[in-house]
Amino acid sequence: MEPLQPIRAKSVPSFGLVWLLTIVGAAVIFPLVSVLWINYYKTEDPAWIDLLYRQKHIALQRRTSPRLVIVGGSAALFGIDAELIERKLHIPTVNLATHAGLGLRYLLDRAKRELRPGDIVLVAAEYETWPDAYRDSEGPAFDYIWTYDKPYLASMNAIEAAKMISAVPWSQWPISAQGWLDRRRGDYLHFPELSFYSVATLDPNGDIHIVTPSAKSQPPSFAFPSDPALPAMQSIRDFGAYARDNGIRLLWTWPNIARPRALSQPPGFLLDLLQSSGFVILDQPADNAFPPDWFMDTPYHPNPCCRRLRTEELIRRLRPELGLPPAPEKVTGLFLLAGREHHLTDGNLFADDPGVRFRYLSRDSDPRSISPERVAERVRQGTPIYTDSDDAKPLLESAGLTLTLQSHQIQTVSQWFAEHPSSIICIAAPKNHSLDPIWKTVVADPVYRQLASGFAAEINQRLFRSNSMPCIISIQTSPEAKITVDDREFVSSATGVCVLAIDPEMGIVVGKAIFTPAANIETWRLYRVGRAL
Amino acid sequence: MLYNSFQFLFVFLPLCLLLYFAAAKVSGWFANVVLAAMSLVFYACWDPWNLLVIAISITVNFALGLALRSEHSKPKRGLLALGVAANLAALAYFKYTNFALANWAAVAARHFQPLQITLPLGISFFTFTQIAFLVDAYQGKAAELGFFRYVLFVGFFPHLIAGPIVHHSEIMPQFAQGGAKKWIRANIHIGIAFLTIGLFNKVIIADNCAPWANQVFDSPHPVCCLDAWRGALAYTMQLYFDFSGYCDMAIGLAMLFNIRLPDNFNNPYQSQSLADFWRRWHMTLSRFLREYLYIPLGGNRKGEARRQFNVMATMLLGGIWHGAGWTYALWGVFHGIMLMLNHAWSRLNLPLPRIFARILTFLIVVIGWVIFRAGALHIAASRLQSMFGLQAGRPLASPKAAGGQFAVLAILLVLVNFAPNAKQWVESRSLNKKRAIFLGVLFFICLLQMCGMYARRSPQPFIYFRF
Repeated sequence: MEPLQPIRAKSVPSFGLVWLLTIVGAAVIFPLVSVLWINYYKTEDPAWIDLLYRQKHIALQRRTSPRLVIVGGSAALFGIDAELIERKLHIPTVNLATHAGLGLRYLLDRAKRELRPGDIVLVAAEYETWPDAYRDSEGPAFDYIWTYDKPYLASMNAIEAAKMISAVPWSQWPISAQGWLDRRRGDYLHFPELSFYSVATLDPNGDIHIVTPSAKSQPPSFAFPSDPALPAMQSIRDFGAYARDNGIRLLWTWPNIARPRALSQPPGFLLDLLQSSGFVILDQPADNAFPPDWFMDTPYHPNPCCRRLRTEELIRRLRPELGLPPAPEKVTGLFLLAGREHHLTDGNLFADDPGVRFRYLSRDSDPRSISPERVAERVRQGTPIYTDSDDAKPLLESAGLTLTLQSHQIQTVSQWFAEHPSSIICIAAPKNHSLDPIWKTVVADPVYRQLASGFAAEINQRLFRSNSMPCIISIQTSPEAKITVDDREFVSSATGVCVLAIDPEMGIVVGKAIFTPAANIETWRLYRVGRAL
Repeated sequence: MLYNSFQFLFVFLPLCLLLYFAAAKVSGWFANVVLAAMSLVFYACWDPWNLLVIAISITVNFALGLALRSEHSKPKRGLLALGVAANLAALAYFKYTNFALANWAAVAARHFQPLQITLPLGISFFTFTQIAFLVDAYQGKAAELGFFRYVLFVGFFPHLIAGPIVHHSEIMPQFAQGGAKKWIRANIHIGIAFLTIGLFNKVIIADNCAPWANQVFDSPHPVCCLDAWRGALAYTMQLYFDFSGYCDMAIGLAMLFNIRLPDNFNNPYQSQSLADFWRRWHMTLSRFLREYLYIPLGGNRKGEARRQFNVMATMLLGGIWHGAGWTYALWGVFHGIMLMLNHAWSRLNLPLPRIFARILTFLIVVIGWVIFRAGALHIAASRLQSMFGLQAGRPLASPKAAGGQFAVLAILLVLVNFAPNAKQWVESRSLNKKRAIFLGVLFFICLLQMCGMYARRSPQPFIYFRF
């Protein structure tokens, strides 16, 4: 056997030291460069989440403590109506819920930044938010943190931060260059791509108001966390300790979901954890499971009618927690929800009558639904029954019932303008439209003359307000009058004057109307259900 | 504990170096004891139960070796046969029992419940190493013998799990040298260079090729022609960079302890013929098979027909050595046939143009790897049919993704054909500061990748660990 030939290599004495120092230097420099460079501006989800948080931050700033702050993913964003809670329970309420992909740990950490002593936090976290896999690979939370919340990296321990840094794929480095260019051009907001889930559709309380096509989505894979060692468990404890130290009360509601095939009870360790961390658990998971038909594009996104039902039930459970007398057991009336659309109005608020119950007019086997026949029975028993849904009419008529107008609200041009004193008002009149002279009383002379001149115009305006909440407004007058915000919210008419009010800070549409030559609009109406003669 | 793990690189290895060189201050014997103990600790980290297997194997073979060297031991030939048979029996039991029983059950149409047999890591390697030792001892070539040095010869952790398969005569003297116990800066630098290059080849190249190959080979459905080639090329690159990366790391790690392990790769994809390929690929296994199987069978000394038989038998056993599966056997047979054709062509004295010979050799090797990787004969047949357009299938990846992968594979093809291997690179120029920075950056990139892999809980073991 021939002896092994030695490896013939010359080396400088400092080779090993330089090699070692290079590694140490890279370990210091690389994270810094990563933090400065990496972004996911090319991705839609981070933009959506960032815009939501920016708006909700403003909504929170506008309200004085004690406030009720709703924390969760899109199940709470779509499923809990903060405006309704605020108006019914008279407590400033903001829906801080954003995206389940952020994970419970981040959602709670992020909420801490917005809370003040005395606040009440209501957590409604999707079951999928318990594991926070976002530290391992790209996803909504990972992309968002790398783009809009880099300081959060500093709050992680060294191992977690190292994982976050190492999990950035190499391909993201050149993509980040494109991201910076997009940022410079303003394209990073992804308004065209996000036109469906648009931040323009939020209300001043942070609730979203969109109706998506029904996807007949499969029920969610319903599972409670089975691992008591999940990082989210520790973040629950940390959040509990933080709340105790800052005089913040904690409430827990299970998320609204399309009813899964099997609905189990939460494991004991989870309930113990929540209770020992200071959470008051308001309900059972089954309380917030609804028929799948009442959901829209995902099993966590209820339609507006279902949202109203879910929030009304939540309000009944919240009353004692907020020191209010419990809602009376006696039913003083029923309000029927029907179809998929529903808007909160003064007419259907019933703020001063907590005995009014809400029911979904359908034949679903759910205690919160009611069939037309059952409605007829209740009418015979003398229960006052109301609705404001045109979708209810054919169903009720099939059961021998009729709708009679109970009340409605008419608004004049002057009243509409008075309702939006500090908004950006957009007006579009169709070309060659004859303008009612009443407009002279609400707009300045030059605006009136321009509107009355019947001119054709097309205006595209990008607004960046003082708080950097962007908003894209598009106005046209031909072939019809149309005002569009963020490529999503719009009002249009070929015969009337379109008006649209934008909250100048939040960039959301707070009012829109079409004034026909009669110059009055009906803002809501309420029907009473009765027996056909 | 994988070489490409933080525990190994930042805990075990520094601790081992520290203890070894501290022990060397006391005595060379003590340093060997410490290194042997650390090697066994390294092995026990995988599965402490395996420690018993290797301990028995080492002790029995050491005793047999002593007996074979003894003047009074008679009959030696019988003792050697007993030793070789015992080693092969152990290997057969752990590695092939379930395979044999499953095939018997299939033939007899009986239900088969696999036996709970855990394959001790590296058994194929340390068994072959010790069979070679017994033969050397029998032939009087194993001069050096001390128990702890023998433990190191078999169990020195850089080569314990997946080779290189070492010869007693090339390793034992190194453990006996007093000079090997000193901190030699030049060797440390060489070790760093090999370790870094090996780690880069494994973690950055092989592990990133793996999902591409897995996607194609794990698909239960027929794949299209392009995908079949994509998977075949990806595995060709994965296997080379994985195993050569491991071997470079092993050589580098050993150099840190002033031990020179034999080379195991010499740019195999630059081979001009299949015979040339086997002189460049897994060189220590080829050497073992040649010296302890092919030549004892008669080699080329007993006529052409016997030579062809010997080639086929050697390659078949070489294939089966890799694993208990018909694909490995078929891979061995395929290489045996190709080597026979290679030898037949050589006798015609009609040399092919170099570039053509190189491409042809590479294609034969790629086809072989498809059989090797497939996991089942029908999958191998399906992928080969797809590669040659005999079977249609739906694309597994988008054109953009597949295009990107082909681009990377093309770059790797250029690298394996024209770039120097680790040894050539280290020897070609001085290990100066620029190279230190270059290698430091490579090492850091590997650490980043390892971080990401650990985050995803998917650190990839070396392919040859399973053999």
